[in-house]
Amino acid sequence: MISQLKQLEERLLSIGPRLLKLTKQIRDLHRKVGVGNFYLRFIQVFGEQKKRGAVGFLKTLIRLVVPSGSVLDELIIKPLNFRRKKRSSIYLPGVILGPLKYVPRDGGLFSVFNFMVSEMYLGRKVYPLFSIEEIKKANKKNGPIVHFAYLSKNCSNSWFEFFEPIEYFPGDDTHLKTFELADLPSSSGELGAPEFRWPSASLKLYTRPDFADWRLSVNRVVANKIKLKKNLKMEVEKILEGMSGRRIGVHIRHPSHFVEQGNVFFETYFSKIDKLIEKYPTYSIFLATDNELAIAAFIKKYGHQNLHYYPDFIRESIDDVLRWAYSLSRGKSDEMGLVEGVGFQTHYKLAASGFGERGIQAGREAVIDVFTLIGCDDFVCTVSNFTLTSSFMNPSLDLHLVSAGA
Amino acid sequence: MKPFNDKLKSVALVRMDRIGDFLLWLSAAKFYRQYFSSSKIVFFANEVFASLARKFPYWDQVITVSVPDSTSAVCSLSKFEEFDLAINLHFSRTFTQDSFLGAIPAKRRIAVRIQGPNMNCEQYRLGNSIYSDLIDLDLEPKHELQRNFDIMNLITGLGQSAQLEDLRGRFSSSALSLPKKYAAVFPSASWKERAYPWPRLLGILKSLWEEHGILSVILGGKEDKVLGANIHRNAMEFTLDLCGKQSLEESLFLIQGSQLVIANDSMAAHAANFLSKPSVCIVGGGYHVSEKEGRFFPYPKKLISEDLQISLRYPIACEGCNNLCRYADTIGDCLPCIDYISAELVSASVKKVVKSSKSGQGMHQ
Repeated sequence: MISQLKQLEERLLSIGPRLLKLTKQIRDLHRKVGVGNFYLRFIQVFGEQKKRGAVGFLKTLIRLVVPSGSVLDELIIKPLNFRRKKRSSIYLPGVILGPLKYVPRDGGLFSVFNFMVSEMYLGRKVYPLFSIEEIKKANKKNGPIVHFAYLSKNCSNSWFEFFEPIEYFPGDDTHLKTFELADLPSSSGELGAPEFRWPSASLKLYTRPDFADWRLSVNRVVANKIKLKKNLKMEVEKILEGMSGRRIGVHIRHPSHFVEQGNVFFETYFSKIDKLIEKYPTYSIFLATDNELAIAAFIKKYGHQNLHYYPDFIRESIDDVLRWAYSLSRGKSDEMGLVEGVGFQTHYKLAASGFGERGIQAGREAVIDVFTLIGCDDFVCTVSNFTLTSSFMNPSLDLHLVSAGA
Repeated sequence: MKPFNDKLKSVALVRMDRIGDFLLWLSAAKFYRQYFSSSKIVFFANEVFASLARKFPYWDQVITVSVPDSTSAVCSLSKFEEFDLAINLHFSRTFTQDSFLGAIPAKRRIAVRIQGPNMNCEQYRLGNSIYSDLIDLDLEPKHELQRNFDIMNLITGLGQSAQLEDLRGRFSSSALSLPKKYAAVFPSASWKERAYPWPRLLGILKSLWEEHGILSVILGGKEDKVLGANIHRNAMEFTLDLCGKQSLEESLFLIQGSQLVIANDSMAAHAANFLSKPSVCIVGGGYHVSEKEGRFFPYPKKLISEDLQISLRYPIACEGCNNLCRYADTIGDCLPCIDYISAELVSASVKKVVKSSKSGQGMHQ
């Protein structure tokens, strides 16, 4: 019977699909010969195989033959038992909640904004400090600044060109003391939740059934702290007042964003908007875009009467868009939309030309565009930081996503 | 099902889950002792609560079981003669438990006939083959305490109604000198993502100090040291960090001496109820909760006064997932059902509890 048992155990190790049946037979044999419950370890091996796949199976198998506390245990089992644990950001040792200066990463304005919100949502007290010295200091290792163009030598903190100072409690004037702020520990949003930081996680968030809860929850934390600068607010209110009926906001990005949002065509936007128009025959469309091609396409489709946009904003011309298209015939686009290292979106050009009033102007325009979208009833959008910001700044805004990501 | 013979020579009881589950079962444990009064009872206990189990007179011997690797406990089984009966006490069975039960030499083995959420069909089928008897329970949503009594009543036929074990006065004093008024704060949970984001606790602890003069003592296991240090670093003047520095019994003693307990769905919130301490417990959406009671929190009102326990939860659409969170791979630090509970709500609940503790409401009934 013992030899029969050994034979079966050997077969058990070599034959995968019949494992279940064999373990049962072994169990019965073990019962009869009274060899304890070794079979159960095999059942566990089987369980591990089902649960963790081949690696789990092998690990448990090795565990069976290597005696606990032996040299082999030290050499094989302990290193194998190391499990890759997800590093959870706020559990890292020595996290300071604030006050902190929030220095922009070299990213887009609303990417930087969302990173900052992620930290506020976490519970950190961050005060944005948008200055050339700070961003250069923080991004020293990464070379020249290529994305974040919204700075000027004339502004010690260009945040105040766009937003009011942030207050965490009544009478909080920390943000206004620029020099003292510069001495605070720094943060660039690296501790925030993935939803705020990674396009793929944001995309997953949009389809989560708890997305509405998430929007409300974030809004509750940040909406009373982030306030638009008065002059910008007036501009937003002015255009919104002029929009009658259902307000449909649309955001069309430079086509080089296909690397994040996938290929989205005007007809996709139009079909979504047309469905909304069918539902709400009295409507106005607000178009936020960084290129004139989109404006031309929308005027052709919807005419001037129902279409609203800020006419004098800095945008790429139709020829600029064509230049980008031609460049693609000669080179390849990277994951940021740069073709052979050349950026075709407005902010790349502004950053490359050095910081100045045009950078601040572009920042103001981006902020006005986003907050006008936030004031709409519907938002036809793609995967972008504009969409994410709008989602939590106005939790009742109806989002209509036209892209499913790249 | 007929009750088992109470004149058995030896009985093995097996509990391999967490400390909170053990506390919840403790009230039913004494009835096993009462019923099998002439039998030798050996309690196979998870290492996390084995030392605590030794303090209770409900068994003759406690054997420590490491989970999930129970090899050393399995090896120790050769010392035992065959038990007359081995009881798997868990309502949510796992394959590890079943395997361990199978390794115990016993004439009869017993468990509930329910597939736990953490086992697949094959494991359930195999696991069932280990047992000589399977208990059929009604699957109506019930509090776990009631469930433990149901299992005990079916095995013993005693027909006892659920009750709460009073643990007051059982734990010895700690050498620590603590202020007269303090809150026992347990910021962690066995599953880290099920813990309330600690940064939000700071404002609450600050107002406890400023408005009521209550210091917050941060407690937890060794694995929570980083968490405790982070909280303390940001709130030195009104917190005392004892994370990882106290044994389980010392932690229970500290709960016993506290004004109130703030905890996640963890051992501490259960202990607060057993020690008649007012508590605020932040509960995730892992289990369905009725208006009257949850599977774990809140406790049935007939067992503990409403003033003593506040359970906070967010009614999320995916509630009742058995903690198999669909967002586990995408979230950062916290499960959504915990994350959406606002700090304002927690703060208001803490204030309410402080108020009721001052007026001395809600003792054991």
